[in-house]
Amino acid sequence: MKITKELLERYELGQCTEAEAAAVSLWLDSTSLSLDDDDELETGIADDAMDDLLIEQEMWQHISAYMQEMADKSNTPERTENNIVFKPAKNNDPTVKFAAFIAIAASLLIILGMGWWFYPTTADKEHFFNASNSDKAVMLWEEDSFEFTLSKNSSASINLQSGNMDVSGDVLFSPKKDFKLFDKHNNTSLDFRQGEVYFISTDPDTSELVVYSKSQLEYLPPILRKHIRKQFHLT
Amino acid sequence: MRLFTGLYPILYVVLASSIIGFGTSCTHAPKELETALNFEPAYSLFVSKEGVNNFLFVDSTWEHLASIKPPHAGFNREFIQRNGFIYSVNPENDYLIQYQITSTGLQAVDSIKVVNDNIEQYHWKNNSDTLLISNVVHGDIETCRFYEIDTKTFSLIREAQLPIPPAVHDFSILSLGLVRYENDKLWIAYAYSKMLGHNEYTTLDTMYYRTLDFASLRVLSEQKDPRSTYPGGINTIQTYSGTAENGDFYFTSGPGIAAGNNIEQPSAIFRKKNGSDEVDTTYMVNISAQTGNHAYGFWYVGNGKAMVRGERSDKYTDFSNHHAVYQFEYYLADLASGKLQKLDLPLDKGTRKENVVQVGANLYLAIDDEKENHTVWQYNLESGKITTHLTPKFPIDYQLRLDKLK
Repeated sequence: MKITKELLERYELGQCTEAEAAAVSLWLDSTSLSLDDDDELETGIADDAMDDLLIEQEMWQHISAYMQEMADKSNTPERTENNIVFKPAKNNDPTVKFAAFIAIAASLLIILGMGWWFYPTTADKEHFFNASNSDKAVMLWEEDSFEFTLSKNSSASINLQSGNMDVSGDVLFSPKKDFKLFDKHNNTSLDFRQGEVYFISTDPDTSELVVYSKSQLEYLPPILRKHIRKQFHLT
Repeated sequence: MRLFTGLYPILYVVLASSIIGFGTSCTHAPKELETALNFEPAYSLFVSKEGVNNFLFVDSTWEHLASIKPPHAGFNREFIQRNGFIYSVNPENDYLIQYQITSTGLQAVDSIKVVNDNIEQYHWKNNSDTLLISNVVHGDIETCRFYEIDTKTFSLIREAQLPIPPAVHDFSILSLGLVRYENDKLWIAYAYSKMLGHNEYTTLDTMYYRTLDFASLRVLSEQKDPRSTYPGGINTIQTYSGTAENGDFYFTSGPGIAAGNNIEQPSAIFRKKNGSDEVDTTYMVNISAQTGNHAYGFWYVGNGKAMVRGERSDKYTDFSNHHAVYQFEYYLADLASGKLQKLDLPLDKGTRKENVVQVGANLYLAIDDEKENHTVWQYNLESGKITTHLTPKFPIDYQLRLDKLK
């Protein structure tokens, strides 16, 4: 049976025969929802468009099944009275389409705007670390990818983007991932391994840098080792 | 029968030659490790590769080796071993843990809470199962904590504060260098240091000794010795003293940059005669005067002889590369004449090592040379012959310890 506009109007008005109503129901259940008198669709579908249509049908089937499931769960009177209420149907109303387009565009704009607004500060937090301790015996900074313990009169900064680091005084550095950092003052590249603890010390007068992993501390003279332990309250 | 008796000597010769040939070839080729500890360990090497430590247990024939991982990642070389047990402080919680060496590794048996995450001085009282431990309690004012532990039951007999002054003038960093029990007395040698700059320090130019009554820990006598400084050292890391057959006690001082850092004073050997509370001020072997360098390790090897491990100041720049350069020489010291004889061994690396073991007339020394050989050398005290003895086929940067398990 051909589904025409006239038939649909009669279906809406309840003037269909049983056979016609069944045919319309079947048509509504189908996914293409194209009218058999729509010549453009019938004749002008290229292969690509056909593929698109098949994908579209599959998607609508999934959505339909999902909607059906939701309707089953909701158990509303409409559901029991008329399945059509829950049938997914394309709304060809241009006003609704336009409103949807505006809503999507607005959402995108808001998301992009927020991204643009928050990006610089987030990037700052992620790429730059700066800490200093001037008065406390020892201070701990815990970041996502590392920890810094600063003894008194010490500071540490890291630019994770450029890989530059700057340490003054005595710090303990505990990387939570592998790092390769560069000390500009001493023109030295340093490899830090995840899970290791490093004692980094810079002489404030000479800027000379000393780096020892915790396991290497045992090679230091006992008095220096004791001094470092005291500094960082290691025992 | 004639045939068999005739063949026996030939067979013996063939067998003996193959055994000797096999043995000789094994001493030079790196020794493969077995996958499990299926033998009675007689020696242990404690080795380090890129900061990761491992035990290599060796049987009495030096033919079988097996590696055993330490019980935890923080387990370092500062352990005490005796009678199949190992004692080590867990740096995570400052508990002294007693481990038993088993075929599967070190099994924790018991524990006692101590101050600090290391042991500065240990001593077996009268060579018995009573372990004496002394640690400096870190702080602005340093104090000295003493533990007496029965290792049979692993129970604390006594915990007390030792009457050691916390500072002399502004030298407020206290180092305990030697602690020794003798005739119901506790004899302690110590020194004082201070920070000079950011990572610089020095040690006051005097060695201090105190004799305490063991029961009451009351001070019986005190002696100041200005001939050198920084007596002894942390003896869980390296040995700095030994007792001769006649009971005389010998020890070294370490004023070099890797210990006391008062380099104008000499590294030297001193003596405390059997039965005396005082260090013998008439006796001193000046190591620095003979070698032109400082020294750090001292192992008494019998018959009035001792091994001394000396640095080479022309090889390192400062303490930052002191441990990494190949510079250590070994000397046989004649304690009566004071003469040092340099041994024909490759230069070793590692600022401090517990790497000398004696079995009869043979000394075994674990040396990490600049050809990246990590080898146990054998030095026969009677013949003077030096040979390579064992090279484990295992990744090694430093052989930090060689112990005879006793």
